[in-house]
Amino acid sequence: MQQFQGVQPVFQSNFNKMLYPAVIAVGIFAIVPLMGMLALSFTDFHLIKGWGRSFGIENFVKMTQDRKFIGSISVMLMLSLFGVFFQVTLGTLIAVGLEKIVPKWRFMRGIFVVPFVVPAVAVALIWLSLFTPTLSPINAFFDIFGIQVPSFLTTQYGAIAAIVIADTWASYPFVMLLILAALQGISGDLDEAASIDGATKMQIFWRITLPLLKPALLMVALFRFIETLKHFPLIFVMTNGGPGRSTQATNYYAYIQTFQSSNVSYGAAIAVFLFIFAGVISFYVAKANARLTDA
Amino acid sequence: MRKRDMSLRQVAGVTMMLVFLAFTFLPIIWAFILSFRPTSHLFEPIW
Repeated sequence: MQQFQGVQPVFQSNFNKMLYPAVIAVGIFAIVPLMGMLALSFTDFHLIKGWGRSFGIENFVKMTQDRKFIGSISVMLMLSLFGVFFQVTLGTLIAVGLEKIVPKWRFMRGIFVVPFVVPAVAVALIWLSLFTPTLSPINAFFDIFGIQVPSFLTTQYGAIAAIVIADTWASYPFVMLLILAALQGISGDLDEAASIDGATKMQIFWRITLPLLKPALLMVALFRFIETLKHFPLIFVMTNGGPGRSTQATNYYAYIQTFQSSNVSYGAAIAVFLFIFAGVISFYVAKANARLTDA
Repeated sequence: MRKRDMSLRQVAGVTMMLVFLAFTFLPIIWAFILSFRPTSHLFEPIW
């Protein structure tokens, strides 16, 4: 034992040095741009007028009085909450179905993952064509029976529903994959013991499987929630923020302020708000998850 | 009777999975059909 004394500190110091490349990479690609954005949000930089002289919290004060910004938060929350709900529900149902109802469909798992690998712009184009009445096969099908399908993209809630549907289609495979992995981590002995005690399959699902899936469900909902806060390609291609401002989520509003109104500093302030908002939500969900895992 | 109930449930479960499969796959088939249209006439009426 004596001869190994001193090995540990040497190894420890080398181990710390091995972390330097990762720390530098994170610093350059994550922290520096973040600090730049934070600094920019306190200025009054304009793409055309250039740098002004003021430096302060004017942009953040302006945000509290900007009705378009406040409206964009409710649009963002609607897109996120409905999107996460449908993605998690559908992903979980399909994962449980593949594992418990049709376990012989192993080869189908690959097919269910296909939407996840379609680029966001292609997803937006597919669903834009499906929601365009003159082009859509859905409208053509219902026309045969004399049923007029309402035009989704021309009404406020219809456009939001269209984006939620497109996002659900593209993102539920992510939920499905994580839930499938979590399901495979649950011992089959529990199901077997419950069925010996007389529990039905539904009781086993609601009383055993679902409670054990809770930590995974919470984490996957958090991942999806943060991702849906960053909605951009679907809105840009499918609705362009319209009709009116009904699908102008906060992220999209930051883009409009930065690149269409040239208010770079105000756009940065909105992005800082989004960052803090996502950070706070993540903190509380991680805390809840820790509590669930410990329990 | 119990055996029949179970098979009905199984049918319902398989039907649900087939609906999900259609939801997943039909837009991809539609995209494949659209890919044969000339890009300049992509959004012109078909029907």
